[in-house]
Amino acid sequence: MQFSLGAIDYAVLGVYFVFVIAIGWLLRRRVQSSQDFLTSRHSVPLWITSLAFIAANLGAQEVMGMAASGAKYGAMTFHFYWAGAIPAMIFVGVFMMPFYYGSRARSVPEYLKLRFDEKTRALNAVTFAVMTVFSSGISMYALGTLLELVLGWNFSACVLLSAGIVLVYTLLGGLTGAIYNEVLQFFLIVVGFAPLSIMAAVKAGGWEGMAARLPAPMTHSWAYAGSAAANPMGVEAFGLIAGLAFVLSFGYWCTDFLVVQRAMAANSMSAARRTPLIAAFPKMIMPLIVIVPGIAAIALTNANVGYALPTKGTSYDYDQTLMTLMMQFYPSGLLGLGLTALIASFMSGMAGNVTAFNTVFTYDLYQSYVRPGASDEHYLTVGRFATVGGIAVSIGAAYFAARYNNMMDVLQLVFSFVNAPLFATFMLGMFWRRTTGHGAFTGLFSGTLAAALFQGSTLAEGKGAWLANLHTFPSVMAQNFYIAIVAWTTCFVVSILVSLATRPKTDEEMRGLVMGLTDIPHDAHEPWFRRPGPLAVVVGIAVVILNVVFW
Amino acid sequence: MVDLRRIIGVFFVIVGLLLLTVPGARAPLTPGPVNLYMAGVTIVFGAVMLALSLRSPGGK
Repeated sequence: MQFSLGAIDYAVLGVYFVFVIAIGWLLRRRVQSSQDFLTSRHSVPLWITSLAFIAANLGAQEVMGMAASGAKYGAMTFHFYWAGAIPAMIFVGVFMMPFYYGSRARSVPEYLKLRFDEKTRALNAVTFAVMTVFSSGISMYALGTLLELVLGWNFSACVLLSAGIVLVYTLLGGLTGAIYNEVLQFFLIVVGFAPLSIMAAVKAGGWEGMAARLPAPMTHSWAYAGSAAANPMGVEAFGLIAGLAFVLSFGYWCTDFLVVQRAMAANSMSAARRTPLIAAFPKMIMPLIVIVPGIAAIALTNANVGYALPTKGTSYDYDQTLMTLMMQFYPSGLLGLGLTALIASFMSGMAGNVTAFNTVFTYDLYQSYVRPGASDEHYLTVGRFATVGGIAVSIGAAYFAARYNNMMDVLQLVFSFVNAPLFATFMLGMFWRRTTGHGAFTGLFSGTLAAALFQGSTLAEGKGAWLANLHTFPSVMAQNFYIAIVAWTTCFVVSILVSLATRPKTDEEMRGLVMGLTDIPHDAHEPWFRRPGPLAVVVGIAVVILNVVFW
Repeated sequence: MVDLRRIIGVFFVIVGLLLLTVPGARAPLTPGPVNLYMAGVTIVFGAVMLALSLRSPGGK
């Protein structure tokens, strides 16, 4: 399968490259200090932080992966948005952002230091820094492999060109440059993929046509979630709600600095709180753009109308869903726009990781442990070097992933071990004053260990059970959801037990960091759409309606 | 201060104009002149962003 690009397609791609670098160039004068470069100095308008909040998460692996999951699991994939993102986005905006923003911490690990202690910050900073550069590397590897496969471009050229462009605009514009570009990338992703969704769905006969050509569980999100055996995902309602909608979703949207950093860049506490809530509106619509094409692909294959999803062995090759649909529906011109959108989504994910990495490296590792008390100019220089270093390590990680194919699986697994318990630490830290630094650190460590042991003693699709096989899950996804539940619960319980046996900080030390000791701005005089509470209610009602419509 | 709406507006107008150069291109399952439709969409979107940019304080 190879695309043949025309001059017009290359022209669209070229214009995009020029604009992303131009954005960095135009913003370069704003970067005068380390705070400008690494945190945007709380100066970015609300509409920009809101779109960047979801764009940073909208990497190409997400876009292509969701189309593939739509083809494999059908409408149950909607859960990754309507259950696995929106409730957590409401929670972080309404309840957690006052502590992040109010503490004036420059990063999530720094918040952990203020609330708990140095060792908890160090644990989070080191794991986060390693995770972000490897995530960025995996993203690069996926981009290089894809472009080599479908365009016949050289793997190294793709990796170096994409990394080089991200490096240029991030070095010039810092976090603001990355955030501004993420907004352009967001619009490009919507404009680039929405026509595919519309054309594929119309060709498949609309939602009714798809429902007529597919097994019933493929077009219902909740109706077949009563039993793991009744749906293609192999997960029942408890695993979905507790594993995905609670632990994994809240663990990511509420504690991952990559997304939280976008809200923290907002120009006021009110804007920071509304960032995830405003972002929730486009986020709710994204499944119609990235998942529906996958469902339509299977319906079109069944309808025999000139499109067939390729097979791999005895099953469909779901990873080819998006590309094969583009090949069949997009003529030259629109094809260039679609491919540019795909490359934009890779860059958006990569830049998001790199800008989060350079902040954590500079403030939480270098300033804290290598050279405290240096001039701001020095930290600005270190931040720039960290950007170059982060991208260089990412390139190395891309080649590492290319050499060891299963590296991606291993890393994704390790990420889930680390992320799942973190939400328990934050929940306790922000809402229970009695939580101590020793409790948080021991809980995090125990939660990660419990996740590894659980994965080692259960089996799913041939994966896991490297210790013993005590239980077999019908799918890796079901196994992942239960690993998250075990990790979160272990962290939660151990943190409470150790906290009760150790001495907490005084109220004065926790002012601005926990509920009851933090001033929440009074906003009753503001119109409803400028208040987080009413906005959250509107978002909540909208997401309930979507769940009911696609029940 | 950089107005992002202006940059996005110019970008999408250019993309729309590029699509207008191949209005009738077809792929195997293309239902109609989709480049033409998308050119319209991107130019209108770009124009709206530019208009918003010019209407804002300091935009003119």
